[in-house]
Amino acid sequence: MSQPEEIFGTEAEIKRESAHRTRRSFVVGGVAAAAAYGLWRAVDSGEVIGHQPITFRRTFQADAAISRAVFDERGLSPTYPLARATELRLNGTAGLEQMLEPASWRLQLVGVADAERSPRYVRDVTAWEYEYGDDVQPDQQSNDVKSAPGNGDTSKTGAAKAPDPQKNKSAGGDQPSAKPAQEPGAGAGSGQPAADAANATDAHNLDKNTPKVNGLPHVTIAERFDAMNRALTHKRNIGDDEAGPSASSLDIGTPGLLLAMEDLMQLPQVELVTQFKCIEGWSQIVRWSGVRLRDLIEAYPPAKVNGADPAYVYMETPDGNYYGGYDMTAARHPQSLLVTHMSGQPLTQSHGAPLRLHMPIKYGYKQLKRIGLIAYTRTRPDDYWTKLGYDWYAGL
Amino acid sequence: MSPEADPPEGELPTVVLALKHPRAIRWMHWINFPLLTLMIWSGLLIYWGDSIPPYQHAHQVYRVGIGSWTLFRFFPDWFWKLLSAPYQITTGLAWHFLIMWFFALNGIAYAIYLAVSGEWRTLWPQKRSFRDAIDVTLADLHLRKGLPPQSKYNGAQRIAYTAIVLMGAGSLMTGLAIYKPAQTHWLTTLLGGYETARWEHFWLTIFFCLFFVLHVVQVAMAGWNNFRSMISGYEIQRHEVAMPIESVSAQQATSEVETQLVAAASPVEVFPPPEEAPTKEAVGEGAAHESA
Repeated sequence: MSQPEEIFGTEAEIKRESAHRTRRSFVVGGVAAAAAYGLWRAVDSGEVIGHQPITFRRTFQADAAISRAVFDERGLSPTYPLARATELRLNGTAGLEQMLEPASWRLQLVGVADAERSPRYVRDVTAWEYEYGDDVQPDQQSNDVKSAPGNGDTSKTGAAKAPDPQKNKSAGGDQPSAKPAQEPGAGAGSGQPAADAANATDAHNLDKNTPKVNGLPHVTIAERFDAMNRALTHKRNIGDDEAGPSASSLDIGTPGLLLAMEDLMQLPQVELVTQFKCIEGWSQIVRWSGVRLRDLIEAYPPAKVNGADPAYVYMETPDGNYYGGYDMTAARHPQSLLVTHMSGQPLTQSHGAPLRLHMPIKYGYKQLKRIGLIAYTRTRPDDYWTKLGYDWYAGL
Repeated sequence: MSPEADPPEGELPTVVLALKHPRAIRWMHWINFPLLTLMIWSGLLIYWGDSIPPYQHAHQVYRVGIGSWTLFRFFPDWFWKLLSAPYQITTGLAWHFLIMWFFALNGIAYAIYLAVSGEWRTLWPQKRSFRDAIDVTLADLHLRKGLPPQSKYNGAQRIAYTAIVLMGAGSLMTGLAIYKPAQTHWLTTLLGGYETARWEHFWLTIFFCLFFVLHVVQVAMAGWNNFRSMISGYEIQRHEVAMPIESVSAQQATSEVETQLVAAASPVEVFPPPEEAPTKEAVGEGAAHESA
């Protein structure tokens, strides 16, 4: 409809014309609003991938593609004077539920070129047995906002920390909140129906809670089931936290290297004072020490897969409960650090001792604690928080 | 007769249907409403995560206070419950990072349209707008009678409608600074750092909400004739004293706070208004009558 600057007429004509135009506009507006509502319904009710309707999952991917195209993850995060560094707070314990015996720690490294020639080569890295102790107690002096009250005053782990004047100003941790079922105390995995029985198998619980049948405890059946499952899937039964087992966990019989801490200590030591940013909205400047992930990749270069360098790095906790996937560009970023010390002190168990990741170009939920496995891979790895509705890319 | 025909020769119109808001502005205005609503809603879902009330972990960035003394932190529990915000961070992130594109595109299109069409002249503050804005505010508060002369928008509106565009630009910039604080750290640093950028992003949103309340109140007070012009584009203007057509065009003066000026005999001596100028109430009734 044409839109002249002025329309003249008698009083009655003007009113009629105005009413006509107003009705028209309301109809057009109503149709537009209805279309918008329909769009909203369609967006909100599509197929759900990792707790996220497909429209939003694709939006995350499109946003990431734009970020990669524009920035290429080349930018450096700002660094800060040491005086501004604070004690990082705790925020969640996925993958760290039990104390890890430090002597039993090894870094499984998979996908390395000419791995067989290394003295650290083993035919099956998944056969390595990590040893666990008691449940991890939150550090006494850390402000652990996600543990039940009363947990904070029990056993300390790792080295004593200097009191932190900033502590009360900035409490928290590095695992985002998805829903109450994830909080410690609610029980790992209790918020979700197990995808299949095999994943939910917990021999200890079965042993405790199920009666014996014909003198045979159910644990035997569970173990048989367990064995059957291993045979079928070639996977260990690991990863029973809320996000479930990782699709990228190693097949039984995967060869690779088993590195000890002294191997990592051969790499150049690096210190960074950068800001840790949690997707929950808080951030802290922290002093990190360790080795560059890039230097590890240089020292143990990836084997080519079908003539091409693998584009991703996958990491996992020893129990397989927490895992993350990274682009090779992000892994090779000069500020991506394998951290052994925080605030000048060795990492505590609840902060991911003996080795955790700090990646200032990613949100905290990507910065895996207690790394047990680093694998070079060609396919985009599974990621704990991606399954719970967060973005895989998480680039800052 | 065709309503779009020229006025009969020798006769001056006393009532005219005048185009007030071009179609583009109306579309962008109404599209912005749900977009900004979605951005604020999804932003609040994200924002909840920084406090997580069950963990008794208070916001550091979003509070009202001076130094270490805090008057209050946002928001009370009932507010979060009303919004169903708890543990909806992923919903918030998903919507925020989808709608942001449309919000930005609509805003940029609006700014380009203003610049290209020349409409910016109707809302960019003039030298006297700031003084006028005080007079308009005082008049709105019934602390003084009469309003300064104006064209499409009065001084207060010029300032408000320009500010809202700048605030939108501010939200985009602070938003980018928070979204990519590593890759665009120059911007984040320019805005005072990551926490400061969050603080700015948050307070801009609060001001959007305050603007919204004020805007709705003003529109309600200005009446149907004014509101309808943002729907159909047209406003009924009546001129009780005949004047040359050129003056009529120059005097397309109506606004949500002030419709009575149109009726004034001469555009130059309205302030202080002549005694015979109709009161706001009278105009309001007239407007209500027109809509019937």
